[in-house]
Amino acid sequence: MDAAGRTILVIDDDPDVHDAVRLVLEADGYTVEGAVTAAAGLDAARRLVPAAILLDIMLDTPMEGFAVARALRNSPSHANTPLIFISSIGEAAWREQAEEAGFSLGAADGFVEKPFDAATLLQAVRQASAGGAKSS
Amino acid sequence: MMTDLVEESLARRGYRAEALISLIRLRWFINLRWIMILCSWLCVTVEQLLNPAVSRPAGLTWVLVALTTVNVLWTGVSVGLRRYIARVGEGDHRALRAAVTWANAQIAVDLLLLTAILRYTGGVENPMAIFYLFHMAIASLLLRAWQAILQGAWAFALYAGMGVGELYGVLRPHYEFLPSRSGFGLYAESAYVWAAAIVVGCGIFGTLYFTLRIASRLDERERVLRATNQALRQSQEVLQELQRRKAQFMRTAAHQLKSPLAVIQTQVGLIRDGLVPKESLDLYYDKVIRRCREAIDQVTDLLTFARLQEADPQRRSGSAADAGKVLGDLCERFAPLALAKGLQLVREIAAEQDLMVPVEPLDLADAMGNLIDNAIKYTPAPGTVRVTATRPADEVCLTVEDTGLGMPVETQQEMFDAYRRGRLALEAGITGSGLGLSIVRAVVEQSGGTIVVRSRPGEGSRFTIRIPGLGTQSDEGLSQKPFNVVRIE
Repeated sequence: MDAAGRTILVIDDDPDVHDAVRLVLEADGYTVEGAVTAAAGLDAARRLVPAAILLDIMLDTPMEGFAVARALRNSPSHANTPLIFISSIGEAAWREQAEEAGFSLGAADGFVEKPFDAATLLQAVRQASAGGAKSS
Repeated sequence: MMTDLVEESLARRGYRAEALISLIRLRWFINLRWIMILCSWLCVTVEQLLNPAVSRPAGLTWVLVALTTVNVLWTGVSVGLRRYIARVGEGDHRALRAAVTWANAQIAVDLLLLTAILRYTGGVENPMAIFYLFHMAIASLLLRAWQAILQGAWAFALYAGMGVGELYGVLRPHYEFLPSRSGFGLYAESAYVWAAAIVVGCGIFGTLYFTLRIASRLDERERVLRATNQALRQSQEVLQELQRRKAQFMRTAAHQLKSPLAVIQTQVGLIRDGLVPKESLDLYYDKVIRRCREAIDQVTDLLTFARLQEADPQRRSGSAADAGKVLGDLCERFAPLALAKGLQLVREIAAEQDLMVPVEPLDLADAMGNLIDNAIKYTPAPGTVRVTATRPADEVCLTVEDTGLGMPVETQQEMFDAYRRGRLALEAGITGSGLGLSIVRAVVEQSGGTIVVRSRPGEGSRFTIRIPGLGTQSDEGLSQKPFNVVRIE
């Protein structure tokens, strides 16, 4: 796999989360890039063509993550990029909020709840990268 | 179901829409009339059985036949009318017009047939004249006032016409109320006939007057009830919205509080698993401490916000704070932080002026402390944070100005909502509880003041807070202040 194919993009408003993800994934040979806002995240996704995207739900606004996910899925270059939600709201609330935001969870490739441990994060990223993305 | 709007519109036009539509839907008149027809036929038959010698005029039979036929006709009309109303809709003005016309026609024909029955059963000597009043009560409840009065005039004309016609021999012969007995000849007594006409007339118009008055008062009460109902419904919607916002706030607050805790747990886990290189351990310990502090700040701000939300709006009446002293203390507190960041913290407090404001000192310190803290956080070195306090006229004017990141105009108003943080702040990686400006707004709102924001990205921000001076006229009239106290320049 080339360098671009090992790049993971983290879109999260908390830089400490970027650092933690970087620490875990870089030890496994991935390159991690981070963005703290939705706009910066979409821009980075266009620029980097990452192997997978880790996306927080609550960015500038409470459910902005779903808008970012929708924009990514509507973009031809990211329609198949594995997309993993990463949030502290819990999986049940994630499902509830996705429905509220009108986002089909079938278009997501995984969910990692914060706080996370290294094994959980690695497994989610490996699984998503190996399985490829689900189309929306 | 008729909508409230349609009912209200019909009520304004003097109709009781519900009654009119029920008239058609339930065939109320028709069913009553069937009972009346049945009773009439029963009376005639029983009279014949009990006393075969009694001979009622053929005209009475024809009138009862006509009444039966008319009711069959009305039944047919009601079926057609129901279909028509179903097609055009209950709220349609054509449906209403059809219902009103039909009600008018039924009452008018009923009055005519009632008079015909009276004519063949004793004329003015028949006490069944009381049924005019029954029709008047129905007319005044269903129709507009002028239509009910016209029906009353029609009833009176029919009754008086019949009485006077019999009196002067225009309508002949006279039929007795009790054919088996010789009558009293009252129909031929001028005084009696005129007295009966006047009494029935008074009964008709008196019934109309009282029923219309009572109906009008009931309408008024219904309008009040409707308005109260509407107000209650609106209050319920407001409460539901408040409940929804409260739930949203709690969800966001919990998430915001969980975020630093989640990061702390993750970081500690990574340290425990040996993933953090030894040379970075101190950095990670610092991060953990910083995030712990952030969580504590979150809780502190939440407690402050809750205290302000719960505050008794009247409590400020006894509050007083020396804004100059509060700002002076805050500058002392934040000076080391500004210095450590390489910023110049300038204070310009007009100590010679009266800077007393009707605010709790703790609230004012929370609000101004948040503004100064933000200014320091969002201003890169080398920069300046300027804090001023003056008293132009009746107001005390407090400003916090910086040469920092500034905010895009389109997000400045939203920044005062809980947990809204600016894009520039997020991009710069500056942490915050997301409640600071909400606390500022709550304090300023409660003090009857205003906030003016002037900010440009890359140029810095200036927050100007104006609070009525203690004991001034504007202090007395605080409750009339507009709800939205934030103005963006």
